[in-house]
Amino acid sequence: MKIQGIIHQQICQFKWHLLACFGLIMVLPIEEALVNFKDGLGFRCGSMVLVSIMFSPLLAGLIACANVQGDMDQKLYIFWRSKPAGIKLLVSLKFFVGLTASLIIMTCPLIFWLLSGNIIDTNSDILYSIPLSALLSIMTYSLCFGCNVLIRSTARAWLVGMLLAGFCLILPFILPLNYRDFVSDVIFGSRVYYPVIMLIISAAAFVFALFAAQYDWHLKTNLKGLLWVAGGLVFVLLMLFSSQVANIKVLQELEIEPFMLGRNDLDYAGDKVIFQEHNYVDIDNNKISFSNIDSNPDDIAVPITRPEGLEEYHTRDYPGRDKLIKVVGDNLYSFSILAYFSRERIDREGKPPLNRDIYEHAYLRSYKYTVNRWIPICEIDISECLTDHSYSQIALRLIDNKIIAIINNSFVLIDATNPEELKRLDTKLDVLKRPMGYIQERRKEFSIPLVPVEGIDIEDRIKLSIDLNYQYEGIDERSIVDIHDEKISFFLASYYDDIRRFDVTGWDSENIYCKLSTARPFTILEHMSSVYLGRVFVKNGKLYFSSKNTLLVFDIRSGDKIRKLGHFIRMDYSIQDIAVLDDDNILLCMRWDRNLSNYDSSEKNFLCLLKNPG
Amino acid sequence: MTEPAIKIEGLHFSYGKKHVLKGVDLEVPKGSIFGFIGRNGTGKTTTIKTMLGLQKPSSGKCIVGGFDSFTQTLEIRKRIGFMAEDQQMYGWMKVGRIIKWVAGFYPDWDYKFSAELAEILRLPMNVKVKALSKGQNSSLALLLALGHRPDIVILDDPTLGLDPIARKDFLRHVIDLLQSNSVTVFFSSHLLYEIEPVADYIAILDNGVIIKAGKTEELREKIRRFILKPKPDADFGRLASVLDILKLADNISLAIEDCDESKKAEIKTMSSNGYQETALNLDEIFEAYVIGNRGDLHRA
Repeated sequence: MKIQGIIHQQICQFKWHLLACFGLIMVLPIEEALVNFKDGLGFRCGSMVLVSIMFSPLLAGLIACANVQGDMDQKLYIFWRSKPAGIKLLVSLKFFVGLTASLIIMTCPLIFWLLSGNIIDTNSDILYSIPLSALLSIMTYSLCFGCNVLIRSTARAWLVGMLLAGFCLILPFILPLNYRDFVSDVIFGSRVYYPVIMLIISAAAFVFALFAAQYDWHLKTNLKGLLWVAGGLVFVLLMLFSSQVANIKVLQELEIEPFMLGRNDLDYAGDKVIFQEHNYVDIDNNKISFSNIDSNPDDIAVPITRPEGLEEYHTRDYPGRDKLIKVVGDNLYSFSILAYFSRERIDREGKPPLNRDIYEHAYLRSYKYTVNRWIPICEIDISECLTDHSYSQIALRLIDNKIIAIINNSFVLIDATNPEELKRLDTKLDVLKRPMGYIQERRKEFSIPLVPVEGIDIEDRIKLSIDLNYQYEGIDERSIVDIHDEKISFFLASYYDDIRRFDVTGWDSENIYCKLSTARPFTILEHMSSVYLGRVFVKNGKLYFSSKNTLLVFDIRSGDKIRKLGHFIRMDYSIQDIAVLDDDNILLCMRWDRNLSNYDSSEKNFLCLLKNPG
Repeated sequence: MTEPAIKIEGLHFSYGKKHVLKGVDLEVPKGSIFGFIGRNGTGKTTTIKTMLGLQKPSSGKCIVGGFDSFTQTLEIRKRIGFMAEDQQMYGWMKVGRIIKWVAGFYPDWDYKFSAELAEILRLPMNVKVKALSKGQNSSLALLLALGHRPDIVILDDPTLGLDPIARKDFLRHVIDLLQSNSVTVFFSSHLLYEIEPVADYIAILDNGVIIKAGKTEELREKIRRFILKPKPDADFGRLASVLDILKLADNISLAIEDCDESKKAEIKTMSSNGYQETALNLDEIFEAYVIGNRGDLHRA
């Protein structure tokens, strides 16, 4: 078989289609260049090249269909098949000739762009889309080629090919398949899974086309049938989408009256939840009600006053809005770190002046709830922790009757058995190591520094160390660590990517050793939610992930995999705070705000009681 | 005994639930012109496609030129010339280009012979295929089937769609080009009168099975028609080899296969005034086999 004859025939056969596609892909860049030229900016183009390249996968599919359509007519098919040609070789030739031609055409706008000389202005993220588009074009080309060998009708094959391409790209992100984790492990990096998917699908479509031609597979279709199939696919996709949306049952949604507006936060107080600092949230028969926090009017605490000499300082407190609450008998106490700082003005030559806050004093305070007020009753000076007078990182955790107050790399351990009489147990300055960032390395064991605090249980120390490493602020009421059956695991969520479980494999006096156990990729819908990454925490064997308007609940204890239990989403709402109640139901503080214009405020606040799934 | 050019044994083929071939057995002697006849839709093209290895049968065996159709497809295609019914080719190619293109598939393409053929068939080399007349299109397809000087030529209803003059012209070329070169020709058609003058052998395919095969002359000799006035007590059901009984006013027309003297004597006993014996042409033989009334006197 003379290959050059086949290639010649191939190119002659679809040259008009190639020229048409060339015209389509070049029309926008040329138009942009002409407009620029007319406007006196010179003959140059820019963004339209990228738009053209984005469209190239559609054109690649068309080229693929045109490439084989000339040979797939039933009678022509018999004509060339009855010749002594190796079918697989012939189809391979056609495939690669068409693919090369389509890639050349896709490159034309880039050459035009290079010649116009302004490629340097473009940022690297946009340039990254060029090879991705090329890969996508290879995938659509291969799928349409395979479909046309099977269906033998240009329009139908293109339609089916494009549907398949869409399905292949979307389906893995709708279904929580763990294959992406596998792929990532194979290629040692999580950012290249799209190219891997596309290359695998392209190769599969090509192999399929070879076998379809070899064994004369022919799928007879009619337009009505295809539309039904397309409709069916869209229906399946919608079903898969809908199964992920709002499948957590709302038990009650209560609009909060205007007089209750203010601090929409939920705080844990033993087995109860306090709303807006002054009301218990009572759940009875799935109905929300509020009750005042009782306090004995006769038991009036004597408030402490601001230490002398600090009148001129500004103050900042932590945890601020959320409260770290301890229940002792009938009394409620809360704790916070209060820092005093002065503001220094730094003049800069030729530039606006800068303000710098210099922290000089810090106190751990306890408060008692008395007659509808939180009254400061005791404090311990922990100013020595401000070794560099900055206040960049701060954390507070109550473990049994001990409080660990952390400022930067130092901490103070305080006995809070009697919150009205705090006792310092230990102080360690500059002993905490710099926390490590989000783990990129997915295969090797890695270590996390163990907080050198003594006098607390090792499991609590590990929990504190991990939370401190990855969360820092916010560890007063949340944890990402799950301890179950003597197994310690923790969970991290990354932007756009997945939720990963890491197992603690061991520890020594300085480090905790961990290893990636499994990852559960976000689906496409979850991707959209995770853009506004909010809270991630673990409670009672479930992982809660909240973003701006979405709450996801995962089961983390049954089996090795992270299994999604529920998904709650409300458009135009934002989740202010979350509390998992004692009866396992979930309470959300939400704000509805469609305030598109500054003059028409339409904010509403809700408490939402959700049935915890699973 | 020489090996047959084509040998088919127990060939079965189905399109889904529809059984098209139900056990075809066939032998095509080397150097013969073999007429393969049957009504439309009886499985002629399916049999040919299977011979070429274009489709896989459900069961059975097919040997073409000594090669197995299913395992040695390329070897077969190198050695045969095939012309499909209503052959379509790349319309955008010029005649000269398509000849070159097809020649590329054959290592033994005879360029001199194909040039001679083009001249004999009066093919314009610089005209696009889509601009050719039906007759020229058939001639081109014939050239492409013969250019590599195949041992076996398979023609599947090659004159389909041609007008009578073009058909005669085409057949004349086929006979001129092939008869003298000891090429085996497998000629499938439903037009019996175009096969009759050229075919050495005949096979009749009906409902997926070969119902009669043999030398054309033998068929003509052994299948006879008798016209007679039957006695009132004549029992034609006793005759074993009746192919067709027709009632013609007071007379009866009987088509009998494997006709010999004893059968003639038996027929004479059923007649009141003797009989008139005639030979059948291929068209009538085909009709007798395919739609003949076998011994139902009431129908007759």
